[in-house]
Amino acid sequence: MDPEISGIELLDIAQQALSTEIIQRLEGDPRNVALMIGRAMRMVAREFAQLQRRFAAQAALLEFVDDTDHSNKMQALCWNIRNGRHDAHSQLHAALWADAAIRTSISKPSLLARTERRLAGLSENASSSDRG
Amino acid sequence: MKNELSRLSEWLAGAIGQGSIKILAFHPSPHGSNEQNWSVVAEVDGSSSSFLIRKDGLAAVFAGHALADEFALLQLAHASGVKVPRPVAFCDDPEVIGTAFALFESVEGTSFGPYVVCDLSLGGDRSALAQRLGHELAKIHRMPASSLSFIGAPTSVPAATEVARMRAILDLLNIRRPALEWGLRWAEINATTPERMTLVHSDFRTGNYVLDSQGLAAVLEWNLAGWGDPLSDLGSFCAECWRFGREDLEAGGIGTRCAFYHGYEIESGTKIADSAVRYWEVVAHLRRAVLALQVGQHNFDRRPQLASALDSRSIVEIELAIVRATAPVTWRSVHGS
Repeated sequence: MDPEISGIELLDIAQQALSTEIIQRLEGDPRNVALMIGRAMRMVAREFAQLQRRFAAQAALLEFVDDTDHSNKMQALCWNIRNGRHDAHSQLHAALWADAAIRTSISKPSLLARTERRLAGLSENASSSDRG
Repeated sequence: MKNELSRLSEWLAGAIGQGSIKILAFHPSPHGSNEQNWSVVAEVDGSSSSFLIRKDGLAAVFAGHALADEFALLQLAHASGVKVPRPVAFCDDPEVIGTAFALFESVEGTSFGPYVVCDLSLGGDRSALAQRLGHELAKIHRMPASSLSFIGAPTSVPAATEVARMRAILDLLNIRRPALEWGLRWAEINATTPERMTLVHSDFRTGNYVLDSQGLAAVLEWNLAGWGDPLSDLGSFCAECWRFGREDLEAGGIGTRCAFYHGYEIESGTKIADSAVRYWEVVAHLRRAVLALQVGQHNFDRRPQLASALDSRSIVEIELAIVRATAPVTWRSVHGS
């Protein structure tokens, strides 16, 4: 078996070593900094794992810019939104949601899980009301 | 050459009318949301007294009031019966501690948002606390703001003004984030003329008030106060981004929306328009995101650091809340609601 591990696995092992061998021996400010380093490492690992989905979500957003003359499509999208070209546009809203959800799943997955549970609850309540 | 502490003790003796004062401690205070607040412990006539010092500094960066004006606001709030640290004196001589500063009586307790939300030994009964905060906010909205010349004149549609202000900041920072633009456009479309204009605190939220074991000890961070729609303060308080993980407790992560509204309605004698408060909750998210971008750029310009880098990644969490709250069905001019 090839012992060479992937970058994600290496980050995971390093993060575990930080957690089990370093952080518990520290106190005060050094401990807080070490905790932040651990958080940053977990975030990078999640970003690696979701890189393709993240790029796909961003590409889906940029598809709403139809003018190929724009050198900066993100800027063009922002101007178009500001100028009212996409008011209440449901597909753009869905794309914005997908992009924010993927990036939140990288920065704070627990928040995304809580948000999705609440949305599911709201949707269930609405369905019950509809049936009622 | 005198050192900072001896200059401060000399100034303090003059400010509080005592002949001999010895500074026992002078260090950053845990109260408030930035590095402007410092704690001072002094021996005055043989007994220990505690003060809070607020240093000048960040107003120019984040468009808040000058410190002298903020001090005047606190004096007015104190005279109006609002729970604030008692203003003692203002020092405009930068020679004393390197910058102008305002001196207040110290307030015991905690303001750090995550502790306020999680530590139930703070603040007494939480339902009563939510009601009390509503009550206190109504007192703020009754303050005679016209007596403060630096507050300026009210604008007819404060939400539109706020949207324009935030767009100008994004443009100045050259930041392009479609979720924020979407939220700002929604806020522009849905802006309404408020039923009344009052003094508003503009940053009334968990993290900016101090709790002791009994209840509310003080409302802090007045440097953004100005004319506005009073419901904007209720929106800030209820905004999900200021609940510190307790999304289920809609009043600042500490109580129910109902208890908070009830306290406000009793004290103000007005009925709260819930839909307007929810509009301002979205604006509060936009404000927080834009402020986070400003703070992030300010910090990175001075010295890149890990905490700032991590904070920069949390802006998307605010964007998620903005996008969730601004679904197409909620756009007024399109749907006529």
